[in-house]
Amino acid sequence: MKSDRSGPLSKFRAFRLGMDVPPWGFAYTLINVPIPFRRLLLDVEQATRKLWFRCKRLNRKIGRALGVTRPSVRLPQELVHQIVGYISDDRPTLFACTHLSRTWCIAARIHLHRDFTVLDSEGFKAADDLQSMGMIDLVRKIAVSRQIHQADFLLPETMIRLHTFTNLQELDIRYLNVGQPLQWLREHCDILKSTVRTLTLRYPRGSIKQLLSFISLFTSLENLAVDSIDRDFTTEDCTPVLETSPPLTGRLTLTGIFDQDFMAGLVSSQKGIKFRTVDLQFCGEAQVIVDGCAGTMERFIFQPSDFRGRSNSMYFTAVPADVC
Amino acid sequence: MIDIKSLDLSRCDSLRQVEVNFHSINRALPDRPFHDFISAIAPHQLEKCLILSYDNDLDELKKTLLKTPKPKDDSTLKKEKEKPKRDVKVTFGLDIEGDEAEDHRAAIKTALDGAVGNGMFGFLTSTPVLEVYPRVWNPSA
Repeated sequence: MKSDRSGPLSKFRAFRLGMDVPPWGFAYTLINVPIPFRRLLLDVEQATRKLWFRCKRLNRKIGRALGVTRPSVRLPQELVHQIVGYISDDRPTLFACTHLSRTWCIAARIHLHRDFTVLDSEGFKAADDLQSMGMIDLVRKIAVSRQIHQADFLLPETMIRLHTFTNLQELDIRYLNVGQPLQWLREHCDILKSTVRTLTLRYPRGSIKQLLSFISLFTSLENLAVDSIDRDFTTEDCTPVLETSPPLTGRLTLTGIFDQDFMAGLVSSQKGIKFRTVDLQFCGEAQVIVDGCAGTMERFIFQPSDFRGRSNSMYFTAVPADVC
Repeated sequence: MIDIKSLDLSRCDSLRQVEVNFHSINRALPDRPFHDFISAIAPHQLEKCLILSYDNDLDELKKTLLKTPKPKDDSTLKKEKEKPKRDVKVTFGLDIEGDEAEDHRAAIKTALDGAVGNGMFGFLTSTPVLEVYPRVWNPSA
């Protein structure tokens, strides 16, 4: 046992013999000890070991008598999940939990690998590591943040890596040129299309038809957020007609959308829109959206387009859903 | 330009919660912003109304709350009495922080108490409450 080797006697030996104690055993130390003293040292070692274990037992008895519980109490897995749920955003603590025990490790890594951020085309390589460790299913949200200067990023060849994420529920993409991956997604990415529940498109580029076709590809889509469309008028005609229609029953967040064609197109999708929460931030005329969700809308959040808010207009409050 | 007045929410029968910033309703409905805004929403299911104010809206909010109500005609008074009171929980959310936050809160609280005393919220069954929310960065910015 390791504790025996690095126990009190090891220190004693090191002190007496004036040498470093090798961690792999006592016998090696005896090589440098004259033969008459070896027996004596072995006796001392044995006596000290007995004393060491006796102290440990006594310590445990005292602990029990005083009602001090051992630190590694085995909790039911459900309780551990619940406890870890409270620190789901605290990554250092989650990381520490993975070292605690197998039960805590299982609970912590669900949150630790929940989000996956890709900043460039090399970013998908980390997905291979997750896949080799069998943890690819833990990833539920991917944020793909292309830098503007990376022209060839987010091409179908790069985006095919999204296919490896089999349990992806949230997809957040910046600066997506929608026309490029549209055909590829339509043909190859069935898993992705069926699992994604929340889609966020920030500054997407493409025609309105392409955007609406892209959104409609995700057959289980419930929540949709679109931020500032960069409309491309040149590719307006060559886009195929919508084939499917997602349920769109959760939350719609439109930020900086002034395009009436996009709003009208969204409302006139096959099944219509049934959002329960409509959040309009700095948008243009949006009566068509309000009318489209009139039957289902339970919560309405509105910031006008000339929102003056604060002197620093980069932020606004995000009020918890159940706050008022 | 879109404002809250141009949006017709009267057909939203299932609407239970509205969140809007104070400046937008005060600009669109300057006479009686709170009364007119809530009255414009169908009364069937509306339960909660959150009116957010930012640091540079506070003076305007204070002025609006402290505004002396206009003397009403007998006919107007009769009409208002006939109308049933709205069972909507109104919350004034202040997006303030820092050392002056508590002072701002106290000042708005005094103004709100004054407005309640003046009968500004007489069309509601419950008294509006005041809350302070911390700043949260807009992740899309």
